Amino acid sequence: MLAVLLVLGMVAVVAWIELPNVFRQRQWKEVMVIVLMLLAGASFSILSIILYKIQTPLVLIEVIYEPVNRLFGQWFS
Amino acid sequence: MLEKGRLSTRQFTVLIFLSCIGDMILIYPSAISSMSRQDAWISSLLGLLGGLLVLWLMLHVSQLHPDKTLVEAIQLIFGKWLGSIVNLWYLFYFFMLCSYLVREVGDFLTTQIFLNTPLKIIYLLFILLMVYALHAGLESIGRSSEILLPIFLLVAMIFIFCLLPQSKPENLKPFLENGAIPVLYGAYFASIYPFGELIVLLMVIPYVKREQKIKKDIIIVALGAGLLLSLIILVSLLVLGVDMTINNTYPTYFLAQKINIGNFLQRIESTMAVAWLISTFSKAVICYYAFTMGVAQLTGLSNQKILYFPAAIMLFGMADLAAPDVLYYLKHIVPYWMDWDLTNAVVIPCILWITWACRRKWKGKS
Amino acid sequence: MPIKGEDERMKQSNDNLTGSIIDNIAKIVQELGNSDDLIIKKFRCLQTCSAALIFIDGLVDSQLLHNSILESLLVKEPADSSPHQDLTEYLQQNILVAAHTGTFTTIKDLFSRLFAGNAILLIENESKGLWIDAAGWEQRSVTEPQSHSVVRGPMEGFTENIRTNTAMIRRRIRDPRLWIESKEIGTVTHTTVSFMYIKGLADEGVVEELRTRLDRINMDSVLEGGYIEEEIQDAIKTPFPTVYNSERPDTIAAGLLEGRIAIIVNGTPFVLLIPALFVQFFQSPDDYFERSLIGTLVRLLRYMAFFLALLAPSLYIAFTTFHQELLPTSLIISIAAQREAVPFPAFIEALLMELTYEILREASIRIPKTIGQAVSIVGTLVIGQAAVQAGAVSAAMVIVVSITAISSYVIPENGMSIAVRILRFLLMFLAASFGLLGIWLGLMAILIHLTTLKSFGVPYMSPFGPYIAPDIKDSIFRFPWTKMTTRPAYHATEEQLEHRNARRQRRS
Repeated sequence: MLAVLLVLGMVAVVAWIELPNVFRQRQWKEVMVIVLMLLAGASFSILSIILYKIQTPLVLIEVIYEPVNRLFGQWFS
Repeated sequence: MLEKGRLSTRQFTVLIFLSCIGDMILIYPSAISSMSRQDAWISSLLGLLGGLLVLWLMLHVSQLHPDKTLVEAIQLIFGKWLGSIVNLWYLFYFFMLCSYLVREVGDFLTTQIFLNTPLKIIYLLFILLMVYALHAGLESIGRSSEILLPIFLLVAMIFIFCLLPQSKPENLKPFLENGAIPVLYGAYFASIYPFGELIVLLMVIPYVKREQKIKKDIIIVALGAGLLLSLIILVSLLVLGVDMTINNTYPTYFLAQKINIGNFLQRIESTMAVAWLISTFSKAVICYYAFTMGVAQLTGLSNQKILYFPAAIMLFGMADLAAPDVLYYLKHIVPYWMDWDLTNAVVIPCILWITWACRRKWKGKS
Repeated sequence: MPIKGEDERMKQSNDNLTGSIIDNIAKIVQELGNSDDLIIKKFRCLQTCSAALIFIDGLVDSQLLHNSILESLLVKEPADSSPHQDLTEYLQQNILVAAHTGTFTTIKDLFSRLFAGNAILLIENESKGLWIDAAGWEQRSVTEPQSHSVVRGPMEGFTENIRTNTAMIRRRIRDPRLWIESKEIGTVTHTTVSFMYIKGLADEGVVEELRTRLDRINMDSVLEGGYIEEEIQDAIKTPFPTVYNSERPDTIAAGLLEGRIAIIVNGTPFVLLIPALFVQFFQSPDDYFERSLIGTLVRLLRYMAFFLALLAPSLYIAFTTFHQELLPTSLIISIAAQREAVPFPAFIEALLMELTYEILREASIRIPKTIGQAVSIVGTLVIGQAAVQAGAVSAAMVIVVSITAISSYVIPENGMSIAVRILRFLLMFLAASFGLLGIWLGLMAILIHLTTLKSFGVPYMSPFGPYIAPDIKDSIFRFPWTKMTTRPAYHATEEQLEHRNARRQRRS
């Protein structure tokens, strides 16, 4: 629980550092990108703290390349 | 151009050297030896040649649009929609590369040196240092690498020369025990694993001052890096033997623990770790830079410095999520990672090249 | 904050002289508030017209005033001569026995000339006044420089008088290409600040940049070169000095010959040199006067001492707390035995001893010379010894602190050793938290910070950072003179400095 609060604290600190300047210059695209990244970052961090055994994104890679590997394995063995 | 700084050719070649070695110093011997056993050094040398070809291909593709980074070039060549999809694929690749590097540093330090420190603290420190380096700018990173290179080389030389007295040449026999296929498979790894990941440097290459001999210099430097890696594998096999090299998580660290000169220069493995940290840090900084630069160019931002801190939090989280345990990325995902590297470093650049040539011809015709 | 009444004064000072001496004198006396070192001598110039000689007692040489100036002015004109058109011009050209004179018209000029040691001559019904250089005051003679001493080499140091200093540099570089420019900086002190450079060697862009930065200074007072240094240095916050200073004319002359610019401030013997690089702070004139081999070896020693001064306490903390395996077994056993008795963790112990040393160091600057010796030798030994025996610190810590202290004096330039003192504490904290990893992080952060610094557009870490191979000859090594055939290259970045015509030049 404490760790989650710390992560949220970090996100808040980063927002406080980066967002005021961007707001002042009215760059809405930048704001959106920063907010998106912060959300992604927060979700990754909180997931990594709470749920220990979550699937890695590389499962995607495994799924894509599984048939390729099998094919090559058959050629070479 | 989002980036105002410029690197000199020399600084760029130093970055290539350090990035090529990168985290390979920790995991390369183990990975290649599990393919080709005691012939890993032959695989490594063969793979070096393959790797130089891969590097040549990447450099050629970068020259198609010399002043555009990879992300921009993909947008130009593939068009807006297909280009964006391919860019997302690449950005995902850069991001996972960077989180893996952070994860590897963390695992290495917490399992070997700092046994009681939580992983997250190491991630935090490492990432904060990277953010500081990036805020200092690309020129600063280039100059720091130039200064760090002699230190790295010194440590590497001490490592190699202090271990040679303990080598046992019979560990290398029998040659080609299982035939040529495992050796070639190992060579495939050795060519893609270090050199394929150099694709991140295509995000930096537009900011290098143009000089005539840059391609030649880069190839020479990459050759040097590959030779160093082969030397390390050779030393590892000579001193430890095949089984220890395959089954150890970090064979080079284990080797460093064995250095013993006259009962005085011993147990210096922690100082050796500094060299590994330097090379991994250089590579991680470049990947981080590639990722943020790619995001900024893909979404058309005016300033990529604002992305450094948010990306830091993303890395902090993903470093833990990227792999459930050490064995996952040392053994399990290696074949799939190879294919992913191959796609990103060879297949897609080839397609890029062909598409560019075709487009030029169509434009020429019309 | 402006001084009370400054606005009025500014208005008045731009007034011109009136023709009436009485009015002018009254104005001057009122401005100075009747200060009694203002001497006004009224007399009849050339025995014909009313005149007044005004000067500040203590700033002028009275003998000169009596024998040359007053005597020449009191000569009797032949009775039949016609009244002169321009009396001041006539006096300057025909009558006055003085080498350096000039005219002025405003009250402001009058005051600036008056306080520079000139005697002012006001003549009735003349709109111009005459100033005569008669400066002569007590000043320190040329002695051995206190701060930068060498074993072999010239023993002359700069003094507080700007003219003596520029003359000392001129005596060493007798070339017409050595140019001087002066400015007056400081709204209250009106300090004269000159800068010298060798035309054709110094980068024009840097000279122009220097002029802009000096013009930008808006301070009350400039009492030392340090004030100027802070104002003109590049804008990055850093503990490292980006402007070099020296008390020795030969160092400054050598810098000028490399294409640098010297800034001399009236009132201080420390002359500034820009642009300054990291390697310069490790060079001492000794290296060049002795043979090249010993010069190289001593330079390497200095770099080693730099790292020792920076890292010794941190390494001690890291080794004893985290990485005991790195020390030889017998050493670690004896250190463990010593640390048994000490109640503090290694970090607190190191911090205590370092702070004590810093206190002693500051105190020793101000201790009277008679007690100084006793305190420094006996006191440190006694304190160290007593602390060890009381069990407050371990003997190894005392050794570490002494090595650190002595190493920090090996660095020739004070500005750099100040930076080391500050960073040492930061590294100690990192070492106590994270061991060797912390030290690595700290050193990487310092390295990255150093590579972002620029001194007037030149990267601070040249020739290591941007690797400039020919310049390595004078950085870690000191090659023999026959091999040092190129001048240092200053690659100032194009965006910041516009007027660039610097070329690398070969020494002939």
